[in-house]
Amino acid sequence: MLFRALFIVALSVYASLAHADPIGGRLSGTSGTAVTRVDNIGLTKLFLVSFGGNTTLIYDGSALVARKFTPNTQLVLDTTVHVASTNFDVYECWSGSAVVIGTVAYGTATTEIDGIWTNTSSIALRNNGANISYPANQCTRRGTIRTTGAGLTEDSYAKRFVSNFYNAQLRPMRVYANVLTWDYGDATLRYAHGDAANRLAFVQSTSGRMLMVWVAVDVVNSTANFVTPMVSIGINATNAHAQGAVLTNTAVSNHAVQLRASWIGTVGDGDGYAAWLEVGAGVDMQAWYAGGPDTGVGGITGAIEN
Amino acid sequence: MHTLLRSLLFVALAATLALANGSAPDPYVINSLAPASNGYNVVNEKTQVHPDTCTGTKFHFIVFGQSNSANPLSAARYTPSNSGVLNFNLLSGGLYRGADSLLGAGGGGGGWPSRVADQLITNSKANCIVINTFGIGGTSIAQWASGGILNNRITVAVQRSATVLPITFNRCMVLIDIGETDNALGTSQAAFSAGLSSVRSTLTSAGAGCPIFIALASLNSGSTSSAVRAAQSAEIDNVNVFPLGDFDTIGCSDRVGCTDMTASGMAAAASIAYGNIVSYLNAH
Repeated sequence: MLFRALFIVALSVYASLAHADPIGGRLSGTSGTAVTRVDNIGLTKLFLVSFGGNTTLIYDGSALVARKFTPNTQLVLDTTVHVASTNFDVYECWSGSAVVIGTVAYGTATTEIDGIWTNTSSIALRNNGANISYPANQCTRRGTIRTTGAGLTEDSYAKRFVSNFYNAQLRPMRVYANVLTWDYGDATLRYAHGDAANRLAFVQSTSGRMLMVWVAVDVVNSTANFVTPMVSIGINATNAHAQGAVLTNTAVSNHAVQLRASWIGTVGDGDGYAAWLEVGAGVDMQAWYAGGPDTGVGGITGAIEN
Repeated sequence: MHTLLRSLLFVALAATLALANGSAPDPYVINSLAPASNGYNVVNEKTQVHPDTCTGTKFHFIVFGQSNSANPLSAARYTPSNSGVLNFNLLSGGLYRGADSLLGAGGGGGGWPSRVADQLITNSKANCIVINTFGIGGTSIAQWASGGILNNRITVAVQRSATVLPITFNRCMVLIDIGETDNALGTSQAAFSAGLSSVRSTLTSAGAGCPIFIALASLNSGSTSSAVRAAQSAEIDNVNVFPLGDFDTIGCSDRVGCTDMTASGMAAAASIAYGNIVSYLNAH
């Protein structure tokens, strides 16, 4: 029953995404591939790749004008401006002969013109170490990215740091624990294994996008007593269950029991994360088994529109 | 299982939607080796670096083959003393400080590639060496040849590194260390030569116009293969293909089960490889 319900949710997401956006193209870490399947870590540049065509709409001071971008137009990050762990908005503008893309500070004010989000004030677009200024409203919002290191971004199963304002797609996410098993019995919420890497991290160019998260892990108590440890999911928090999370409350004894948690909802714009959390029973000691890739035992998985 | 099914469902939906809107297939998908590992990929224990940190005289090592080139557990991990030793991970495109276990290669132990790179930098032959390694233990030359399950690892490693690393290398070198499994399989000289030839064609097609260095390597459970060694020797023409060294001279005392090298065996292999690479550098 649960699986059927999830399937219906997935279909509805599919249907909502299947509408035609007025603007073609997606930001991608791989030239020529609009929706990548493998991890892209350490990206020094992004590409504006054709997707549903290569036409965009850019305001010219009096009206929106359809402009064709050159497929795989590059956005090259630099280590001076694109400092580590920072969000940047991405815009596209008409240079007079071509569509160019670049970054501005995250949260740069936008103004809607006939359904297209433009820059409220003049902006200096950053690309490949140079700034080029464009007048107010004459650039179109393309997306938001987040850096990992200086001059580096990432689009991976663990970190969806390239968010498309248009043509968002459902992207799979997952993280496995770095160890097969660990002990934890305290009645205090924390990251699974106390490891902050156990989370799905993302950035969003707009609010209201869907995030779906599941956690599963095997737990064994150190005695024959029945106790109630839990796994949980935190949205942008590690000390509280996400509101609306579905959690198992199964009693655990000295035989392995799978504990699960799930959460489906929407997230705001900017950077965020879904944390894989655990809380021990507060008595005895619980052994947690995550298994790792390909074992099917446990980890945090999910999907996000991005 | 439910979690897996749900994930598969959403991946399938996402892929369907992406294809419906004209996204080309991802060129960096490698053939799955499940249930075996596609390569060591524990990035959380690594230090990611920007490609701009690779400066001075820059080498690109493309390394593959079987266990002794692929982080075998028989060898303790080695951490280079030089920060110029870097590791490109074909599984993600990331660039990291080089340290065993090297990302991309199969096992979770140590090896000779990081040691060779460290020696070359210590002795001022280079300032930065990017090790692009993707060998898998227990594999045969036929698996790396065209049609083999490992063949597209060569293409992905070569093309992905060329595309995502904004580094102009002064030199690139392909280092191949394979033969122990073919010894056990009884692969003929002709078959091994055909496999090597196919691997070379794949490298060329992928755009790796680098000199190739081949190790004489066949020692498995205490015995060598004259057929495999003959094929390896025959490939060396000192024009396009050069010797990496005779790894079979590293004896059983430096191996586990007289096959996979220990740390001392890896150090010996590194010294042999270092000597041959320096000879090449001096002549070219």
